[in-house]
Amino acid sequence: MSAVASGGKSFYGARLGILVRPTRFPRLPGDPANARSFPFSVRYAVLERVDRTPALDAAKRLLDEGAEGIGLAFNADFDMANTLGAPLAGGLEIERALVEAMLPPGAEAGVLAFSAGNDRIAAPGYLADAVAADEDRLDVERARDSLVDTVEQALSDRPGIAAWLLHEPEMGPFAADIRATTNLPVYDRTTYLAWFHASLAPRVFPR
Amino acid sequence: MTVAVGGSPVGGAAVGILMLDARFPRVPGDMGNADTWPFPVLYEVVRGATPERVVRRRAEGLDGAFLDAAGRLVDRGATALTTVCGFLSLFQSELAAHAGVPVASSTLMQVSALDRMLPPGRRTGVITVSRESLWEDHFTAVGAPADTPVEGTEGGRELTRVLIGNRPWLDMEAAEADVAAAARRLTARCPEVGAIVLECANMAPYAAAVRRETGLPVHDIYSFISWVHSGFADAYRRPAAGARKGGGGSIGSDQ
Repeated sequence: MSAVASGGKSFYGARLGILVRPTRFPRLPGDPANARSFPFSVRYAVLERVDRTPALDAAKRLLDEGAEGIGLAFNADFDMANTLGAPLAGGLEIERALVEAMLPPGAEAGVLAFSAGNDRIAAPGYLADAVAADEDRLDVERARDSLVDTVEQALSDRPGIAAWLLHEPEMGPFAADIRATTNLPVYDRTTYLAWFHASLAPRVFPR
Repeated sequence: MTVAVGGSPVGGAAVGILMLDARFPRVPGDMGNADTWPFPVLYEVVRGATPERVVRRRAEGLDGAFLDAAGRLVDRGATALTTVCGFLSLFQSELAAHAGVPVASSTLMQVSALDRMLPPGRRTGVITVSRESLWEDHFTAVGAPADTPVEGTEGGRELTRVLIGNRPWLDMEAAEADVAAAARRLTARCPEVGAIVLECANMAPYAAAVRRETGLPVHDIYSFISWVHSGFADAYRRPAAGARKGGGGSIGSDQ
């Protein structure tokens, strides 16, 4: 094999470009807007406005600079898959399908969101309010406690829950707490984006 | 108070792997090589499950042996199961029902999800070790479209011959050339392919070559099972900083 390196772009090795909302909320590890959530480098673009056109512009800029795929650090209410011309990890329904495909018959994925709808379990309270208000301080313990209370209640209401899916990226930092409380696997936007990234950068094994 | 929960003889290994009864080389990157994984796994060999019988003869008569081995892995401590052959999608429902834990039997489980991620008009293509043996129900058993584009390595020189023939030597460069050639044929014949799934669990060592060859996202068993494992917590997903001990001294965004 020849050893000629090829260039042609501005940066290398950060294959995943992630669009983030312009917020002040504390982004803890486990939230995809915290770079330490990933064991690899990512490249962020902060949107000035959370809408389709600025999102597409930012994504194209990241791709032009060297990203190979785009992920979102938020739940978008607009669709941008068609015009990007590169792989896109958009909504979490993809990960939900993967989780549900693994479960035994009769079991279900418990999807935690700030509000109900689309078969999601509502987890209102302190964390939801803090995110909605975009506060730049968060009482981590209080947020943890309110989420843990919600999952314990949900599990007693719906004993068929065999895995959790955290619909809100801000819930990711509490994945390990939810797992420790319920002894069930927990998937979120960070695990989704790490799975997506692996397809852009298949691991090279020693020979 | 911190209470630990027991219940199985082995702790700390979430993923249990159902192994074929085979003797071909398990190189780094192959899921049957324990060095492949950055986390501990549990193995159980399914006696009688030869590569030829599982791939060419639809694992006929092996249901019971797979279910028994799955049960042994769960008893030992596995909290999720997988297998070393994409053709075992045929047993997905039975395995999940019997084991009572999440089961990721085959990389083919990712096909329908990936189809939904791609732009309109693009779809997922599959590279397999034996195209003629991969029937419609291998796809439909895990919700994938029966007409998913497929290309195989059986026309190549090395990989299919060694795996299905259960040979003791493998020329890795020749195997990689087989997989890369299949990827080229797949994208030439089906230009609508926008993502590639490697059916064969022995192809992960060559996934990077397929990505290089095609420029497409490549999904293999290594990335799939790494995702499965990520649901069971790892070094990047410890409890939120400060949440366990209380004290409130850990508020901020860079912890």
